[in-house]
Amino acid sequence: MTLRREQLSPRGSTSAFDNQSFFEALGRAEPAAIRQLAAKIVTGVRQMSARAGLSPQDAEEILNDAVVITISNIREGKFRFMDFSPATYASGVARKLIANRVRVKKPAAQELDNLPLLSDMNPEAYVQDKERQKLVGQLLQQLEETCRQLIQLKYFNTLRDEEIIDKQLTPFTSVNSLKSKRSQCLKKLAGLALEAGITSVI
Amino acid sequence: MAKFDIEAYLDGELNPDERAAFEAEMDRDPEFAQKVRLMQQLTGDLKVQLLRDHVTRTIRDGSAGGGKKSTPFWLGGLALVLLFCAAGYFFLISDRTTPASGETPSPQTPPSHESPQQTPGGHPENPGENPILEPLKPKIPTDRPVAGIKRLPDPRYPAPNIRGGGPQDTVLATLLDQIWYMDFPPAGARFAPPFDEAGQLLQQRDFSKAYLRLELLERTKTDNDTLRFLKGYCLLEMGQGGQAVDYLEQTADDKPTWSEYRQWYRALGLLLSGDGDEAKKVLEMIRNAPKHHFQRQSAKALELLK
Repeated sequence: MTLRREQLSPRGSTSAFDNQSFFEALGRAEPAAIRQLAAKIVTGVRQMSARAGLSPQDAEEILNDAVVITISNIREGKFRFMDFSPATYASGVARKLIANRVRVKKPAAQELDNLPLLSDMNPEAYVQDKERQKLVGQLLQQLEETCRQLIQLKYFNTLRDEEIIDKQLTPFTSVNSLKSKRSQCLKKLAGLALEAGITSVI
Repeated sequence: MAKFDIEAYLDGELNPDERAAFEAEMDRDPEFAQKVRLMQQLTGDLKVQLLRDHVTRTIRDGSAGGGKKSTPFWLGGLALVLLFCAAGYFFLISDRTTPASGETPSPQTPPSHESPQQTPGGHPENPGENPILEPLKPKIPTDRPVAGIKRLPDPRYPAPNIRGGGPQDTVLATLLDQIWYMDFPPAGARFAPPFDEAGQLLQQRDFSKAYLRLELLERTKTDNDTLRFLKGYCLLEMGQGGQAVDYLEQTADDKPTWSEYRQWYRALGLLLSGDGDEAKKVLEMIRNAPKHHFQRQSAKALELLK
């Protein structure tokens, strides 16, 4: 959204965030921001899904996926503040996902327009990757608690190793020992992935 | 192999020399290169999957991750007070709508209101479903007769979702669903280029796309009443009451028909943004205006607001 901050009236600011802080909070995957984004786009996602003949379950999944992709793209710098509001962006993502779902379910029957702003997003690749990612998530659960924690801190909370040590978030007292343990954990996970045949897609 | 730190390479933490040496090793040793690609894929998958788990939990539970931050005690008290108010409100409503002994219930009352399959927090057919997708609304019959007003048909579309989800929001959402008379376009209105496309999208209720078109137009046409009117309507349908009101208030009143729509939209925007007092003033003005297009709708809204 290109609405400037001064255009947000006090009346409009019933939410806890202005646009900038909303964007930043999403980048940190804060639950309040996630819920707010979901609440902003849910009506549109439902309407679009219903129009496309998709089920409420499909709509729920698309809502989740749209939020995940929006946050991922914020984190990776693919979606920058001032391009569009997160809700507009997430709606565009949802539209693409719905269009892809319609293509898969009803070939050539219904085609939704794609939004030009998201031309770089490939919903088919996303759906393919999703299955593999879910499997990786399941494999992660097979690792010991310390491994899961170390991986979570780095790859979800995006904390630097120094920060993890400084805040004493783990039993490790040095960056080297922490890195060494996490490296072992990742190797173990890679071994499990190989056993599960996940690597065949790489 | 400890010589080459794959994690550091993937994190972009190697200096140019180290990076060059690393990539040279990848060129030299295909097995090593394969290992790097595997790790890159794996960590990428982990990032997305951990985020997906978190998002799914947050949306589904509505309270996940809120975490370790403790809720201020006064907030808990406030929630309790609101809960009592809402309970009182529901009690009053049900008291007013329960037929007297021996009275036949209205045949127009939808049986679904009494459906035993209704489960708290979810759709009747999908218990436990995403609470955001299927917000629970109180059982206020939509055809509740409003004194002195010729009965209006229910609005064709429900109001947009209201952020929050507290008892007050739920009551407001139910009220808005009953008065969300969003006729569009205004009678006799035709949108000439460059607004024709946005107007058409709004008629198709494709609000996100219409909003994008209007955003693009706004960059070139910053001072245009049609643009403000369309954007106000669009924002309203997207649940952005406060912003909608801002746009509608900036629209000049020189088109009498549009003006009536603008007033009605503004009243809904005020209600949506929680400014009930101001909304009532606008609604009273509309109700008292002779032959106003939304006179009956306003009367219904005022009655329900009581």
